[in-house]
Amino acid sequence: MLIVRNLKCSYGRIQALTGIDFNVNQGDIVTLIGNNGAGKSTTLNAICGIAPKVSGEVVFRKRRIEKLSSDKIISLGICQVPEGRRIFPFLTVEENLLMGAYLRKYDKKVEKDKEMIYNFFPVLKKMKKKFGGELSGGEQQMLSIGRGLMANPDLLLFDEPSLGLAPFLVKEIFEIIKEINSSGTTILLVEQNARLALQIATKGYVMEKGRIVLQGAGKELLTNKEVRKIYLGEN
Amino acid sequence: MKSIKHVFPFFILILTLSIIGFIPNLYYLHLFNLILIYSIFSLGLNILTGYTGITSFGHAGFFALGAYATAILSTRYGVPPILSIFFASFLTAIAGFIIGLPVIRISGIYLAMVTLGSAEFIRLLALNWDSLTGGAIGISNIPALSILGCYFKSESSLFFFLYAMLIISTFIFVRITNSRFGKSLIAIKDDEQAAESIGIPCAKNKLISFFISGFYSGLSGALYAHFDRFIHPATFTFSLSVLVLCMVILGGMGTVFGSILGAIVIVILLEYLQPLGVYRLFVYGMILTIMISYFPQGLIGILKEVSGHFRKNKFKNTI
Amino acid sequence: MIFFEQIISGLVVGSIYSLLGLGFTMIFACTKRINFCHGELMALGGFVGLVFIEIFPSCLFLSFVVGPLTIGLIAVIIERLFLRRLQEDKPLKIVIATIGLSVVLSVVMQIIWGAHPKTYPNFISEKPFSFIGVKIIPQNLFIFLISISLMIILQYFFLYTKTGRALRALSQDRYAARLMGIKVGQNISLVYFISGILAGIAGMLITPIYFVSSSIGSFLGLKAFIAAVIGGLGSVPGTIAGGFFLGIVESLSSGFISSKYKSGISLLFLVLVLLFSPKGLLSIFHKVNLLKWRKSKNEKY
Repeated sequence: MLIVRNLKCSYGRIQALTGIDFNVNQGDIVTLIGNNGAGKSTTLNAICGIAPKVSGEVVFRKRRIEKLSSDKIISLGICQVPEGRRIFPFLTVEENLLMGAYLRKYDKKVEKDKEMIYNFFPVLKKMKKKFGGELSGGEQQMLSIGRGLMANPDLLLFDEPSLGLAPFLVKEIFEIIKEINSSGTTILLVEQNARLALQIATKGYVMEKGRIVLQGAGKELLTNKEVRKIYLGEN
Repeated sequence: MKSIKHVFPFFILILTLSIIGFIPNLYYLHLFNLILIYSIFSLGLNILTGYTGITSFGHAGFFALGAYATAILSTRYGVPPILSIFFASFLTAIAGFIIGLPVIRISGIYLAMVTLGSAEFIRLLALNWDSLTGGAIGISNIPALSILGCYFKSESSLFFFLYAMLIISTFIFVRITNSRFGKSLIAIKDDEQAAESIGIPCAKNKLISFFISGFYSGLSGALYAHFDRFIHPATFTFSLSVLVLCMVILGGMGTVFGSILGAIVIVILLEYLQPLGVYRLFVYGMILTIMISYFPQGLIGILKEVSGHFRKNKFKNTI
Repeated sequence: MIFFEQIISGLVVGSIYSLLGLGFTMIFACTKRINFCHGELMALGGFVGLVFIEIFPSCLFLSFVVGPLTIGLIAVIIERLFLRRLQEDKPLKIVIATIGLSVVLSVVMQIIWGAHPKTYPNFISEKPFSFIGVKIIPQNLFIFLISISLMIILQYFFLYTKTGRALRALSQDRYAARLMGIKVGQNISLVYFISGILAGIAGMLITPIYFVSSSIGSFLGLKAFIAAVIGGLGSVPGTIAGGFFLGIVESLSSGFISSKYKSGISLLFLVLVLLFSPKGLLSIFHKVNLLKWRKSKNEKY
């Protein structure tokens, strides 16, 4: 579904990605794990078309997308749930959701999707008229995911969904991600919480300093010695 | 890094040029004197805009304050000009400090508005406080500069005095900007939070740069008063603030040489466009807009790029 | 009664301040930059309106549509040509560039239309009528009503249309807005277009009472900016409130103290507001929301 070949990206003089390759197959949950500054978020931004100076190849459904602008890429069916949730604080919950469907024509289908998301996250329905900024962190994360789903994406990119959430909420969010995946959306997940990410992932890539150093099936990586040592903090 | 060495040949150039070609010609000499005064003025704005990154739209106010202070002191109270100039500069520096005080709370555009407002306030004061400032008529018969009874009445003698003043002020300016303090100003301009986090007292240093800026602007205003020997409020309008901003931006923000180059170009333009009257402002506006949008490094930046093409060793960006 | 008449004239002036101030506010909200040639665009609006009224003397409405649209286009051209490349740079660079442009525009207007103030006949009769004993000039009423309805339309646009919502989203979080597929550059141009239209309409409205000249732009522009800052730059209701507030304060002070200090008082207010509540007077109400937002951002839940 998504093929990334030799993707490079730099901010000013700093090269954040030094040529990475990976694939995401239809229906998978693929995860990129690695330390801070390994280039995970940059990878997602490069796919979404909002990172500056990208070179290499990004192919989505047999279409080169690395030179397209972000709105074109989003309308092709890629959407990102950004790091730190990035809710619009002074838009109501409902408006936030509608912003997710910005590139779609507002019609019955959008209404239906909205209802579906309200059913999926009943909390949001209760807080429909509240400002995004008034929600708690967990609710904001749900809103952010809901907003991403409103774009009706085929490939949903998650950037650190567990960041700043209490452990029980993290589990809940990961359950939600699994559920979204089981309803047919392919997922590319960037996460620092390697254990959780690898548990639900069909495939995992380990990034280090702007390149991919290790890859394999999720369960496989969980048992990998090095991964256990460095990313899971075990001996 | 910029040292006095870079600027020095340039001074010799001005000196030789003026001695060889222009001293016999009073008109050109007059222009050169204006250039010298505006160079000091433009240095004064540069420390604020080019180094600390604070834009002021009210430097005409400082200029006016310096001019009026020395004019009032020397005409009303008979203070010898050479003393009153320094007193006026010092007064303006303090005014700069006071006007800069809001820096503790506000920044950016708001601060620029405060400078704009205070300049307007100073101008209105000059216009309306008739008993002290002569109102709209202004102050005439300002005594010429003198040191120990030796008067600088002619343009040529004044030229040497102003020239010496510019060298001294440039020298001090370079010393200031090369000092730790000067470096800290650049750090503040680049990233204030980062500067604060490494222990630079941002508010304090900004205030000091306001003080220095006020001193230089007041000095140039005071020199102007004794040079023209007649001042009136219409000189110190917003367009003067735009003019000096123009010099700094045209020459290149954050460079000593740029301020002086900007003053030279603008003053010469000012003269050559004299027949256009108020329409001259069109040219300044265009210069301001086009330089800032397309050549933010100023003429200095352009020159460096051009010379970089010819020479192998590329200059580092000092801006 | 004089008191009420002062209030009414303050409301009229205030509506112009609000209308102009909205231009500053919208651009500030979406780009965090200030367009300083906004006042000049308004003056240009007055002159262009003059031209169109001469071209279509019979159809006032048409000039009221075409004139402001022209100004909107000019604003977009300015944005594309000079300001876009500075959008990501230090905020003051745009201020310097637009200050330069304001000088250029005012000189251009002086060259084309001369230095003397110009005007055209009132749209409606000048004869005041009295309403519960208070004299009202129809022209002023017209200005007031047009501005109020524009503000309502604008508020509706921002609150209930898709594009308006997108602009609000853009002003709150540009990064997230891009992730939603909102084209940042295009929307910024749109904001400049709208603010240009508002400036054009304001210019046409003031011409019959104030006369339009090349210098009125910077004067009214500064006042409108002050109004926006007093109310809260970046907040639409704040700016409207600030505009009316400033208009009334000025009108009362010139009626009861002295008209000499009119400008002084607005500058004084500006400095006071900047020093004590830099986000504007209305931010006191917003603070509740803002604090909540901050808190929730830092919370672990």
